[in-house]
Amino acid sequence: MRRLGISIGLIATVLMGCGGSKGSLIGYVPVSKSVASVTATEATSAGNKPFSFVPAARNVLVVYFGYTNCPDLCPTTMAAVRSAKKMIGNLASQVDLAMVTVDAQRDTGAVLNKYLSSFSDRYHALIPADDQELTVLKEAFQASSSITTNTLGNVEVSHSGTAYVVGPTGDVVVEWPFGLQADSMAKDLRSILEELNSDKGK
Amino acid sequence: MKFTRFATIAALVVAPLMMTSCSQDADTASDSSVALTEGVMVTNQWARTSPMATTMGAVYFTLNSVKDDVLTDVMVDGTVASAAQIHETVMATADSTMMGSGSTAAPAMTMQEVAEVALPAGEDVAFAPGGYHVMLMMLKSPLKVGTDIKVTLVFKNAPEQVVTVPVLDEAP
Repeated sequence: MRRLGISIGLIATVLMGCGGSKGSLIGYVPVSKSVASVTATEATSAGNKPFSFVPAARNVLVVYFGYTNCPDLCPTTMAAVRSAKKMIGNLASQVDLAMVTVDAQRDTGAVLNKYLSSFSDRYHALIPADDQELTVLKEAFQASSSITTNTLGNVEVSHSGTAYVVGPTGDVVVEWPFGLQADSMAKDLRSILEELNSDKGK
Repeated sequence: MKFTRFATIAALVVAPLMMTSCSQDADTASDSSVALTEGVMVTNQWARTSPMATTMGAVYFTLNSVKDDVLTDVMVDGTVASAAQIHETVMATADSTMMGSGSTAAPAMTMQEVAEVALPAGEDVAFAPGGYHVMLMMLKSPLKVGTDIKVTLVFKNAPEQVVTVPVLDEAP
């Protein structure tokens, strides 16, 4: 498993290099990253509507940038989030999930909603209305992506594999690099939610 | 996760007790769980379920070859997917990546097809999320938990193998 270890280690090193840990959280804790002011386009059965990245009181929102034809990174992370929610019992009801597609040309609202329903009972299919909206979202989260077409005409998508956990103030409270295991995600979620449920929670 | 020689031999002995497929016949493809003292041992094989509206799939496993060898090709039945390719998830090169603002943007990763994968004698070579995987192109129907698919692995030296791959929600 040498190559996999190198890949995950590199990502973790890059992410950890500029930040740190907070309390007992396992993921990377950004110094300051608010996404409260940005708005996305959510595709619902009733049509598109604005989406705010500020979850309800005592809730957290897990945000991921990916695409449905991604066979490796995206379902691995989504499945880990699903497992983490199972591990935290009733607290899972306070965890919401949103995925921003970086491949809006191919990911329709119906497709992305069906995709997310496989991983969570609460989810939001976010399909940027245009490249500018996607750019604003990526800048807010400091995510990255690109789409190119190779010489054979195949679409090649690159994207960051980080999952972002947003708290009720609209601040990113922890970031999970690709490869973080579900039990680590569960520990982070439990720590965050128990604090939110205490008197210190908002 | 390197195996020692002893561990490799031990693994080969107990292989029939595990979810394992090994080379058996030098002339024909095999679908067997019989352990031999040469060839390539395939363990921990699984494919991720795909009920989620995606048309691409991924197959994972661990290979351990008794002798130096090379995985040169992968194939899947046309009723499962249009094609199968050896892929690797890698860090995207800077010039192909549109980063968010600032130098702290999370690095992008991408997939690329690879022509072959070296299998050094006695070493585990993992096909696992975030690294090597067999990419199933244009699935004919969703991969459902509880079902199996057949994937053929072609090696430079060892005989090709037909591996029975269970469809699972997550890695075994």
